[in-house]
Amino acid sequence: MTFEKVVDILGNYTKVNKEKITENSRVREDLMIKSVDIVNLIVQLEEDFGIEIEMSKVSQSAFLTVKSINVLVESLIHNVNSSVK
Amino acid sequence: MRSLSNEQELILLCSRGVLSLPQQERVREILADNVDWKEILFQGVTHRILNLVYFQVKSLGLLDTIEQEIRKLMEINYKAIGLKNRIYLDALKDISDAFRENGIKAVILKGILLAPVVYPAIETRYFNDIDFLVKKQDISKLTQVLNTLGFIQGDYDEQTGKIAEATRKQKMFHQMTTHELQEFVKVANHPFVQLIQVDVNHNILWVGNCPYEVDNELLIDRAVQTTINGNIQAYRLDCEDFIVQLCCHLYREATILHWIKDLKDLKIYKFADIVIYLEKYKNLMNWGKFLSYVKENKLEKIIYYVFHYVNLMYGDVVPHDVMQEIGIENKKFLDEYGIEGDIPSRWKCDFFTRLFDTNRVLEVYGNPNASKEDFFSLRNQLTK
Repeated sequence: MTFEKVVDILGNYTKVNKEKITENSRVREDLMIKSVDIVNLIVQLEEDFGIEIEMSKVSQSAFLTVKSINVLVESLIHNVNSSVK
Repeated sequence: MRSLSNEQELILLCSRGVLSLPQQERVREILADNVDWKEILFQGVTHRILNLVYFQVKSLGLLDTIEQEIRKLMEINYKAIGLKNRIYLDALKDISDAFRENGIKAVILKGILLAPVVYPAIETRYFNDIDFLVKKQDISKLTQVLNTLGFIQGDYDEQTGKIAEATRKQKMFHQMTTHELQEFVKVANHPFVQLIQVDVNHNILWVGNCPYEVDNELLIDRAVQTTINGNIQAYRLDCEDFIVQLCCHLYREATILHWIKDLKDLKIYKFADIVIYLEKYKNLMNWGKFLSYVKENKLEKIIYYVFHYVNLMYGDVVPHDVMQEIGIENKKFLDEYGIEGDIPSRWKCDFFTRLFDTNRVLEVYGNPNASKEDFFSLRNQLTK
């Protein structure tokens, strides 16, 4: 579920058809998303998932592939849910 | 190799820590002749080594060879830089104490360590900021500590004397696309120091098409405790890692377009850092350990580039067998720049022409890669 939503959001920043976006798609090289748009993407992920991405997590490696973004988002959703419980 | 003018030779001779007897004799010979002091002043200022020249000439008892008005100017500059550096050291003490109280291991890099610890006098090394290397996991805590001390991540406006805080997006962009965080700045309200700037590095290399990789956390883990200026307890890289970091810094700024366009690429003080450090710590330097690390991390090209030019400028500072052991066969990269692009460019003029002629930058402006959108124009799109 998270993965589909991440792909949906990525669709706003790339011209690549959503159906062609896979876990292994590389954000810069395959989806052609530039650094400025990665920053906008981070903020949209925060708003749409209700999470906060700490500055220490903001790095090229965390936003290297669709999979790495998904892993980061899922871990932050998990943290939010745990703190609510 | 092109021959150097007397003024250029003097600049290189004086930009080291200790002069041998033949070097002292050559300085005397040059100064006994008519030298062009406006050329020495220009090169000394642009390469940030005017105070080293003043220090060496004074140490040799040759101040009276300098025209009186120029000598006065050099003396004032020498004292002003000393004052500025001491103000920075006071700031470093406050920051280091706060980091220690909060359990943050931040490693001091470059000028603010070199000036009081490695250079022959604190006045002889200019620097404009306090550089730290930190682990990414410490960024949030470190930011809080610096904010508490009055530092803001933003840009200082020299006209108004005010700091405009960067937006969160700008901070993220800076952190993600460069080796450091958005600068932390604080107004100092001192005649010689308007601003204290802290640069927090998370990587000793660069970000964006960088073929090299270094374990920055390992460098921090093996950093050693040190005392600076008698009262500052801090961390510095270990002896060999310190040289690795200086070399990576020099190579990055000498070969990437962004720094060349700003004329920050070939500055003699960065080469002097290496020479003065290696000569001061020659008995502590473990070349075997250094070379193992360089090879493990595939940093041979970076290290060879720096050592090659250090030896060209200063004679055999780095031992011949070390150069051999680095093992570089194809040396074409020594004249390349714009290495962050897919295809690097090649300088048309030789190294010493580039070093002493600031017009080198005109060659770069004609390079099509240089017209790409730069960091600041992209960052300024992120104002909200």
